[in-house]
Amino acid sequence: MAQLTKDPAIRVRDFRFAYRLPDGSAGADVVGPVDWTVEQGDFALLVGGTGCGKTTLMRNLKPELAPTGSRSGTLELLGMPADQMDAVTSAQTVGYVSQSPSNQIVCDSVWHELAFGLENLGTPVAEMRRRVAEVAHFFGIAPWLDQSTDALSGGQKQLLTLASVLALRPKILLLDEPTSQLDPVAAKNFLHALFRVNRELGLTVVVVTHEQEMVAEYATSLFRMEDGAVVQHDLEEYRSQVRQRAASVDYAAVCAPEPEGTKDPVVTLRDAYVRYARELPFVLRGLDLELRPGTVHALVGGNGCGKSTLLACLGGSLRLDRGKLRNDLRSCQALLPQEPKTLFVRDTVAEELAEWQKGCGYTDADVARWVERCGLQDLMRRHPYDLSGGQQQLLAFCKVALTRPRLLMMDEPTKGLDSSYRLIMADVLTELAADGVCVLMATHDLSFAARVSQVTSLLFDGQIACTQPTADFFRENLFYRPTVDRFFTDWRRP
Amino acid sequence: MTRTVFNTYHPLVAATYLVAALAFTMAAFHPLFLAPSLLVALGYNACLKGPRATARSLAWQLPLGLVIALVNPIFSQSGSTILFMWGESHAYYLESLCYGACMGAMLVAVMVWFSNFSHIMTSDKIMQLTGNVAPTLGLMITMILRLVPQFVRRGGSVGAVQSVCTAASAGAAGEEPATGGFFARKAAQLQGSMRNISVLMGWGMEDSLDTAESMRARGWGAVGKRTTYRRNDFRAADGVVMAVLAVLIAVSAWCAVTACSCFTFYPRMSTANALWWGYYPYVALLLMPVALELKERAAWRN
Repeated sequence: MAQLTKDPAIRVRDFRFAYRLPDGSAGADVVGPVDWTVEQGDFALLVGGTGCGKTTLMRNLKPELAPTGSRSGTLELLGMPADQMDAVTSAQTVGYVSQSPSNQIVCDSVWHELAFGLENLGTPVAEMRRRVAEVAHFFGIAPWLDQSTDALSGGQKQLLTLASVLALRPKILLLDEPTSQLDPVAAKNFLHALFRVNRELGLTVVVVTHEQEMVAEYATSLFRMEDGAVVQHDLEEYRSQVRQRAASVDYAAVCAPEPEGTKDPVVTLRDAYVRYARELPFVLRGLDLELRPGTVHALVGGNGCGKSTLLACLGGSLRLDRGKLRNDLRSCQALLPQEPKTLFVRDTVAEELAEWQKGCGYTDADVARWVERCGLQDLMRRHPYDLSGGQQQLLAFCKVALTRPRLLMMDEPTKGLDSSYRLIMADVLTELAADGVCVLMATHDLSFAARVSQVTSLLFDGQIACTQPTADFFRENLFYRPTVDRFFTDWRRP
Repeated sequence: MTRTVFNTYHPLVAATYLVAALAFTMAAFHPLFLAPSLLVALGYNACLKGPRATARSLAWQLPLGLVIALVNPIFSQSGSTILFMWGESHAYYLESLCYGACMGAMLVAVMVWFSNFSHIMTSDKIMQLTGNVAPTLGLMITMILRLVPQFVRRGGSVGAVQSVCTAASAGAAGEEPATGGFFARKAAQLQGSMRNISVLMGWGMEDSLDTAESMRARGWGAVGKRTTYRRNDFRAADGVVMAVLAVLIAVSAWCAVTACSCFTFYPRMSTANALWWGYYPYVALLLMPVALELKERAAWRN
């Protein structure tokens, strides 16, 4: 896809944007003034703190997704003003991929999803076949063409979304946190695919992410959003910093110390066999696990290895086929589900936190304390769905923590959280454990697990492959190691 | 999902066969048309879903048909052969019993055919048929098909999380109080289900915003007329099978009309056949997938 025009892929000049306030007037500028140029064929990485306006800027580059508000300045894509593009040109010029793997999928089968955009543009059937064949081949999707999209893993879904956007042959790809909902292996896989799209096909790629350490390896330029403006940084320097940090990790010093003394386990699972139906294979087969009070216990392992299943067993919502579960904390346990929306029923954050107040008897002061702890003070009157992903996760966490559980199980507590939220979560979990709460977290976030947990179990092939003090676990691992990110280096144990 | 011989043909073939079988079963009210339909439907069902599954559904379908057969003579007291008298002066007629048996058989056969239909006409086959005629309707169907399993799965997880969070259970609406009367417990249960449904609704609607954006970003509504991707074209072999089907349907329809028009249950069931060969085309029509299946198997044996 050689470009003949020499216009930059993205040229933004003196751009400002402000959301419209409820009374109709324009609010303060969220973005701007921005002067930003991305050359054709670049793999640009755009980073910045939560709520700094990265997403707003990206959405303004895609006319269909541009938020309502007042804007000034110019946005040009390949020399064309963004706001003058019609829907067909836009679909064929700019592809947009956002973070949720499943919400972006429209159709029930993989082949139909690939064809969806082409159908929208009224592409003739013969041409559609050719384009679908091409992208399916490029991404290796052909083997699962017949599957239902519901049966795909998160990583497969995100690849499918990318492929179905590319079937429209855009010249520029915009991605907003594309890997935040994926496990590390799937995320790497997705980034490899993006890398190929960029280097082999010459597409311009712009990625907004907070997993900058991982994406930096693939990028060709690095931009940071600071006070509404976009500033270019030296990518090479940043990369060498990241590598240096990763090389000089002393696990004994940074990992949580081993719990002192051996308390008796409060939860014991012996020889657990579990499957979801008689005709399905066993998910857990002969699994043993012990949980002790006052410990943060991390449960790590690949995607679909049964971490969530194990939590459901311990919680008692899934019956064991065989084996024995002794849970002394059965009556005062809580589960923070992977998807915080599972817990939200009320219209405001304040009501949400009060939902269980009557039965559990916690006071308004308790609520206020937790709210402040998690930094949700200013959000009490907002609807839970209007919060960012990180804030939703913290709200769900507060709601669960307010019930004062003695056994707290968490499924991917840091999924989609940026460093600042992970810092809060790490502090709170450490405090809970110091109070004697038994904390179990199933996670893909190895840098979080390495710093916060005291004991780590690796789940593999339906069994616990090993349970070790965290420092020993990570020191002995060769392949399964944490990304040394901002959280890893910045968090200080309280 | 078992592979059926229809997978090797255009979905129109399967749809035509199944709709014809259903239409004949419902319209041709004649014992000699109903019997083959019921037998083939059951046999085919056993092939598709396994004999166990068929037997399991028969366990409730058969009694239902039987009840209809036995009850019909009580309400419709007409005929000429009295089996016995009941009540003060009510007669139980053989003809009426036969009529009821036919009704029962028809009901069971229709249910089994529908079960076969849903098994053979997978969503992508239906999509392919509706897609060209009504692209938006087709898309709607595929979106619903994607959302239903997701909704069910999420419902399960919402309930499970609620049940695991025992620390919250005393205050959670989903948990029934240990004390309290029957109505209090039921009210609490209902409140719990309402809570779960409201969680699901909020979640679903929130997600649909993302989906809508993803649709717009990929050119939804960009041009007036959408096209529809087709994985299979209608080919010569499909034409041949469709032609055979059409001939069999036409002949069977004519035979069925002739047979039904001169067949009566009351006052005395007809015994003479209108056409002695009249049922064979119908049986041939019903057994067509078997023939196609055998043809395929024979090809693989050599």
